[in-house]
Amino acid sequence: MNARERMIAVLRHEQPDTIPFTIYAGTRKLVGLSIYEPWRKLLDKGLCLFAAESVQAHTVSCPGTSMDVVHHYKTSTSWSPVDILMSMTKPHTVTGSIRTPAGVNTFSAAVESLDLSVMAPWFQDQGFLIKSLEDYAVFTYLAEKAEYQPNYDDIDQFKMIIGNYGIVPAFVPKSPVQAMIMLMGPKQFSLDYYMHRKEFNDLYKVIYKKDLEAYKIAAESPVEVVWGPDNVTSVITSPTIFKEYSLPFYNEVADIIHKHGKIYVVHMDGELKALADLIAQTRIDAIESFTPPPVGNFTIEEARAKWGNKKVIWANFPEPVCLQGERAVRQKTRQMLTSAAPGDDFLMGISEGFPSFLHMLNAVPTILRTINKYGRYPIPTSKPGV
Amino acid sequence: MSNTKIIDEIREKIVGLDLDAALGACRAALDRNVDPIEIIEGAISRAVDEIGHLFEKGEFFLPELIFTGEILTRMIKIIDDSIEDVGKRRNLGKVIIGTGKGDLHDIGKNIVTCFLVAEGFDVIDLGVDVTADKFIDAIKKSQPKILAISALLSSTMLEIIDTMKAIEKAGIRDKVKIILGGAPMNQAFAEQVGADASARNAMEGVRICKRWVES
Repeated sequence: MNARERMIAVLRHEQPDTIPFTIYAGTRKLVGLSIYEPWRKLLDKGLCLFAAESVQAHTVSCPGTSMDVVHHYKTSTSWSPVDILMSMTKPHTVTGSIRTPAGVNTFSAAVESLDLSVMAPWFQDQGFLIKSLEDYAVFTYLAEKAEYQPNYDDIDQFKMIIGNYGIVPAFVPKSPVQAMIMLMGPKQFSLDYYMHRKEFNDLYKVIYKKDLEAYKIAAESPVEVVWGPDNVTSVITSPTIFKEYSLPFYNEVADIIHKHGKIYVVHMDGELKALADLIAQTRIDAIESFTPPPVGNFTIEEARAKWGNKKVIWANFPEPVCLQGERAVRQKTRQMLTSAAPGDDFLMGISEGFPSFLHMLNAVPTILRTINKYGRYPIPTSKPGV
Repeated sequence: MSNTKIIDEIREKIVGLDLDAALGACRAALDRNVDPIEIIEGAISRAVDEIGHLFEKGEFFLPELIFTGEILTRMIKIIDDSIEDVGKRRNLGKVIIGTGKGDLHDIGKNIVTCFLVAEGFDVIDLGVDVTADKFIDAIKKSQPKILAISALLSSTMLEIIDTMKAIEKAGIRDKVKIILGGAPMNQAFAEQVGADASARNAMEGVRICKRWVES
């Protein structure tokens, strides 16, 4: 099996030859994989690519709106045009405004780089897009008036680049409640949920309705997988919130996606134990970035016991383990494989940031080597040693 | 109504997530000359304990912590405004808090700050992306009992290693208890870098700080 076939087999509840091990295929990693010899060899040893944050199946526009962004580099440049150019790619802050007939919204954010495929802008406490109830009007307008159009060219190009080394999914907007958390930040989200429920619900309904259009375009696109970047964690999406706001949405879009024969994968990288029963009630096919302890709070065994084989578990390697050295990485990999034995409906991946690029360079080959040695399907159900 | 019943009512309204009723009950208690210290110790401090238990039992989550934090912040303001001599306010000592270098996450730090203030700590919040030098300067200047460092990104763990080394090198490690908090933190890491404790969530962090100053 090649990497693509191995991933698709698991996502379709079929048996792989080996447990797939995936990394996100962002621009910088793709450059590394094409040039850096030790990494290039990993592709031939079975490393699988998941182009999760790379391509959307749609373009979007919103009539009557405009957005201005100013980049603030402070002192990180000189008289040299080359320094100016290079500074632009370095970490900096941006401030901006979105103008709509319903009002103006201002924001600030820290960005790691101009290459946003590497690091999305991080909105700060005072810079979230929705800072008070007054900002609801702008975002209600933006959601209501957004016009989505299919655009499959980017998908076709990325599929050509990735080839049989992995999968290119359609990257859809966050589900409504997760979008609201990102728009407001956890504090405003929580306060508005308790103190301004009507306005909160009205905005949710508008985003919900518009999201269905984007998900339908993704379901009709030339991909096998639709990937929702939801960052679900019970810490903020409590069971009460999940049941009322997330569950109905997931099931409605899952039916749209399944109608077109596609696989629905959702990124849930937080604490999931309190949500386990509710996640079981969704018609999502795979829980991607499922993060076991010590970062998450729900083990692979517990998840399997709750979900049976109805959900594919796409487990994220918990990155703090890398700080404990190669032996710990090997042990954790074996422990995760044993937890998933015999390995049905199970993938492993790295979907979060590593302590450093160097840690990632060391950990990825170690994990892959360990999986190639101990992760052949079916995995024996013995206790791990090293 | 006895003072005990009034105090209980305030506590119940806080834990029951009823902002208006909780603040109303607090104002009514002050109007009846209930000692503000009694409100802090009998209602607020007990409510914080109860909220912690509900959080650990999985009945409260971050939205409830943030909302009860908001209730407590507003209540403390009402109480502070009613105390002519601010020195009468319970003071458990100074805590310096900040998110480690390279990390812009502040929600956990802000919740800890809010509950520490409600408990009677004097909290100096250094914000996010705090360098080792900034932590050291603040310790030297303010001489806190506790330093609390927060992180969400695993990359910040490397910065915390450097911060701990710098505090040791500055010769002030024995002047302050150090607690680490945030998702990637654990006891093994705390021991590895020479911190006194690690808290996996905000409420555990508050409990550890209280234990340190009360022991």
